[in-house]
Amino acid sequence: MKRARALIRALRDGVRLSGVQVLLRLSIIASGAGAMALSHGRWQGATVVVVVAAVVGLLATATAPDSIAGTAAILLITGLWLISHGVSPHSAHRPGAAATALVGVLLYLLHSLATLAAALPWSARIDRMVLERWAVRLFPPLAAVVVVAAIAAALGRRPGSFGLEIGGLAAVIAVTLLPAILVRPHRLTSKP
Amino acid sequence: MTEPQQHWTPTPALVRAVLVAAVLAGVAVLGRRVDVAVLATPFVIGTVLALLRRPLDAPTVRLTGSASSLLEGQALRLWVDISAADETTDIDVVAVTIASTAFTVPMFNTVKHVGSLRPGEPCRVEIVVRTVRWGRRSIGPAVVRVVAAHGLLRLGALRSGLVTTATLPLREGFEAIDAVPRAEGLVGGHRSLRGGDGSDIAGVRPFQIGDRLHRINWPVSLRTDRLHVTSTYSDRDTEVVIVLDTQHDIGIPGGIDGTSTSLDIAVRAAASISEHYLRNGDRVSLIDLGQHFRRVPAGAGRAHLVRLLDVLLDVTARERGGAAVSTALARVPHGALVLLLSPLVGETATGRAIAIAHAGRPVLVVDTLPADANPPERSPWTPLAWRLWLVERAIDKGRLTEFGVPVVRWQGSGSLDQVLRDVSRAASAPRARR
Repeated sequence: MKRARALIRALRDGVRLSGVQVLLRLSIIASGAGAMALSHGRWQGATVVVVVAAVVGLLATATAPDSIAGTAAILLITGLWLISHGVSPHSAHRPGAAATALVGVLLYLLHSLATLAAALPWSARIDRMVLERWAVRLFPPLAAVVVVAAIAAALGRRPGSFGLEIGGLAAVIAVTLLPAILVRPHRLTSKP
Repeated sequence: MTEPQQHWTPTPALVRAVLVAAVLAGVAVLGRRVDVAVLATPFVIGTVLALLRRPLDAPTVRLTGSASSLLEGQALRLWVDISAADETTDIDVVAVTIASTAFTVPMFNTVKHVGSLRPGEPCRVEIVVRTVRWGRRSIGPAVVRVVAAHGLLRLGALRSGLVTTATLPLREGFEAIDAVPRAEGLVGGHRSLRGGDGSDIAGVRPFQIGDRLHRINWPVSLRTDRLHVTSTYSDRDTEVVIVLDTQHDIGIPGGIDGTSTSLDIAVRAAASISEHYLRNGDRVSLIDLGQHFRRVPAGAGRAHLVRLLDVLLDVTARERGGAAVSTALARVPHGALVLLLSPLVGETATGRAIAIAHAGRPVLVVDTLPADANPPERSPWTPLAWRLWLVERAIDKGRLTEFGVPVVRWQGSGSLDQVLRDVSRAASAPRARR
């Protein structure tokens, strides 16, 4: 909300937005729209509501990338994916590996572009090196999606077990805790 | 300089990445959905990899400038150096902002610059600013905001020190004619009223004992059968006393591209006049009517110009002076040319000018009231009051002229020529003291 107000103030004051910022915001909308297009399969009452909410979330993310709208948009698109392909694991509408990987890539792009847009000032001369370094660092997670999607497709649908589920839940807890451990505050001292 | 005790704090992007990864992974496990686990994968991998590269150290920021003094309207290059003690520190986005001041304008219409800090390589961001008004001012600090770990961590604003620059009021060139009322001293560039060795021809006269042989005018001597010599005026220097009226500042300061105040005009004129006369080998002194302790005694040469400009940089409008200024004005050498730069507000400046003229010193008043000066409209009577004040001021100017003190509006180069001619002519004419 604060960012949106800042944008409105900047537009009102005639501050020239940098081309990179405009491009980033358009890319946020494009990646989200792409993920939505790939996610929805059947038009139902609930789907329409989720689509509308996701579109609003996307527009809000493009306007204020530092807000919670980005999280909401990604989760809504994932919800759309679940609704469209059935919540049950035994659903007949099983998504293809390529579509899954592509949606994964687009969702992560949406997240990463919103992060970059939030990190850059509205009107700024941006060194090209910043964008190049950012793009290079996108590759490992995106490559991981493709690899995991390929592995999942190769393994096919396996019946789960109680032990595997407990392990999976432990992995989820680990996923949540690991970043928290990594970002524990370090008190930094000033350098003269 | 860096603010103490900075913490790398999570950005909303980190919260988003962790939340999305946890929710998707949870749904994948509980719903036995491999496809949702695939969607969660980049968030997990991306977050962990980014946080493994997190910096542990805060970078330091240093601001330096390309010049310590420059002219009005000139550009100043500022360099913001961001470096980290730890050579492995890797920062994705370094956004630099310079806190702008009223008369420091960033060029290219941008105030923020973005770079990145790679491991082992310090980051240098160049910012060009233009200073548009004379004076001594501090530029900065540079405020640096950094984002690391692929946008997942950020540091509070880091601030650099300040860069102090002196903007000299020496932009407009000034030229004036050679005439001065009284040229004294021994050598110089001005034609004095007395004969002697020089380059300006005074006339041809009969030879006298002591005349140099190379001065003999042979054509005239042959024609008249008597030795004649070409006499010349001696070249001497003079002392110029610049009296700066800083008791009032009228107008809106808009820098070199905008409107000027009376003090702007006075300071720029004083600098230009000083530079002109010092370049011609004369001696220049400065008296500030508002600050008696800022008197600069007469001196010559380039170093003296630097001294004068240094004093002019700190000129501010203040209503002081009094007896100390009277003493300083009374000590002005008899033959010195006094230039009073004043907007002629109140009776003090007018009184001073008349007193100097009455003491027998050639004085010239340079009117520094801006042509577009207008008071802020406080009531319906303001325009009428302003007109009345202008009438009063015109009467004061008339009084000055009656006392033989010419008043001329400052218009840059050549604006004093006619008046200097008149004053010189008046000085050489015989007169009776009243």
